[in-house]
Amino acid sequence: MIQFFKSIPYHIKAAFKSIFRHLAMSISAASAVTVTLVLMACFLLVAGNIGSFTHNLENSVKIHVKVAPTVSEEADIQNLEGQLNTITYVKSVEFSDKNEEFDLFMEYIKSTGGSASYYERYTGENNPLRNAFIIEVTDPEQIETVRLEILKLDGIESAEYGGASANQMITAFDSIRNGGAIFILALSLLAIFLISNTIKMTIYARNEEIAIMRNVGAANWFIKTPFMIEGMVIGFMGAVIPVIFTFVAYNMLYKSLGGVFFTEMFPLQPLMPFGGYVCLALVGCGMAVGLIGSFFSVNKYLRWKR
Amino acid sequence: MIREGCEILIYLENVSKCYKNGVNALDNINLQINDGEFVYIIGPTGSGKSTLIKLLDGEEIPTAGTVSVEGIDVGKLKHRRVPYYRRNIGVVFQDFRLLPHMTIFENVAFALEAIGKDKVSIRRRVREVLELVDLSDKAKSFPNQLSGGQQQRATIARAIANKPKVLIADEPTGNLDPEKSNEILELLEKINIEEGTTILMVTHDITLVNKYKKRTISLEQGNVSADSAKGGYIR
Repeated sequence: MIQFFKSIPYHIKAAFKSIFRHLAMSISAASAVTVTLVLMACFLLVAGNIGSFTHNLENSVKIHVKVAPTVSEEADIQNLEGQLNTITYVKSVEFSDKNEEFDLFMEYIKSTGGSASYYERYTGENNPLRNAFIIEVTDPEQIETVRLEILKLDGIESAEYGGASANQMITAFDSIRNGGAIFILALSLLAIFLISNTIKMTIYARNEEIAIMRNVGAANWFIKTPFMIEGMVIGFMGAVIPVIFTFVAYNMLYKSLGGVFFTEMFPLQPLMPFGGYVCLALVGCGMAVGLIGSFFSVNKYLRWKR
Repeated sequence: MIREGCEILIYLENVSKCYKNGVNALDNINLQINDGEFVYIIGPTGSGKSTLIKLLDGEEIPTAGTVSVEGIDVGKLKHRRVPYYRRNIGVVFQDFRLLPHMTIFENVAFALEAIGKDKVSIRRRVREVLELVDLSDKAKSFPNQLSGGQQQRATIARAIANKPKVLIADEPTGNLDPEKSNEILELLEKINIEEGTTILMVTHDITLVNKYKKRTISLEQGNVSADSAKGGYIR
């Protein structure tokens, strides 16, 4: 173990020497990593933001329950509220009487530019609206089940959620995320292959050296380590451009969109710390890909005879 | 035939080696070499000389019998331990195998770096062995600037840098003219005496064997056909 740490400078020197001796190969392998990681950066940036969009969307999905006009007594309403609370997946139940509902309706009319005065006459006694409950659910996937449960109760006129499209969006976001992940995985495999090929070439080029090392009794790990470091350095080299890309491009995007993705509903993640995490992930992946690639080669082409 | 007063270093007992392709390279060999001996191994091509070296080096495992060096059962060594065992054994090849992009000094130092020696002791030891093989003035030269004899001396320096117990020289004079061959042999004798290294020299060179008489083991078709302590080419 002590010998391992003592020999690290030697291995690093050997790795860099080898990289410069096969500079063209190293660069080509590094650029494969770069391509992979740039795409991965895009993916991570999108996925990270979609995560927060989804979170927002999920919060916005609520069931609007209209209470039948026959249920008007305070006690009955409270009873109903109690029943709603016992339904599974219900997170919160909020009562909104018909006057509040009317105010909300008027706000909506005003916000769409409709003539509020036209509806003025429906205030007070003439209010045709129903008392309502606004229900949040714990799991948006279960919203339909909850709605059906609510309809089974007595004294419910209707239960609606405006979130059918929201749910579709959540599903769409999920598939973007999964599809992207598969794509990135495939690209990573390609990068691993290219790196292992590069390391294979450097192993061939250093064949004589390896034979002598073996001859004088160099330990197997001692022979392997420089190649592993070389792979990691190539991976790291490949990660440099994607890291710069992440910072510059995302910063530009963030500024030009004003921190939101078209609507306030979709706020973008600020550059820090989000971009930092993405960069860490990129560097980590680059080096891991390099390590795995060289590991394959080293084990395959230095197949140890005794 | 145990020689009194000497420690047994290499001990082969009923060793046979049969390769996967059916070649019977060694057939029931018994050998004993003491610490500090200088031994020639002679025999025609295909007599099993190379196989013997590979068995001693730990590169091959005997099909039957025991190969023991310094009390270590070489055939039973774990894969992982072989490199560490191999540090006891220096090998010199006919074709030198020096790294062309390194100076002579670096070539010798490389062997010590590869087994993780520290810089200061590497430098000291490299100077020492280059002195021993009389190449101190060529330390900064590259292999292609040296004559064949000088290159062979450099490989010997590399092989003994780690102070191995045994130095195996596989036809070290095969590529050299008689004069240079004598030089190499005298160097090996010097190492044998000064460093106390046991030397096994595989050779085809009858003149050398007859001139510098040492214990001579001759192999023929995988068998020890003669083992003469007095030396000289038998047959």
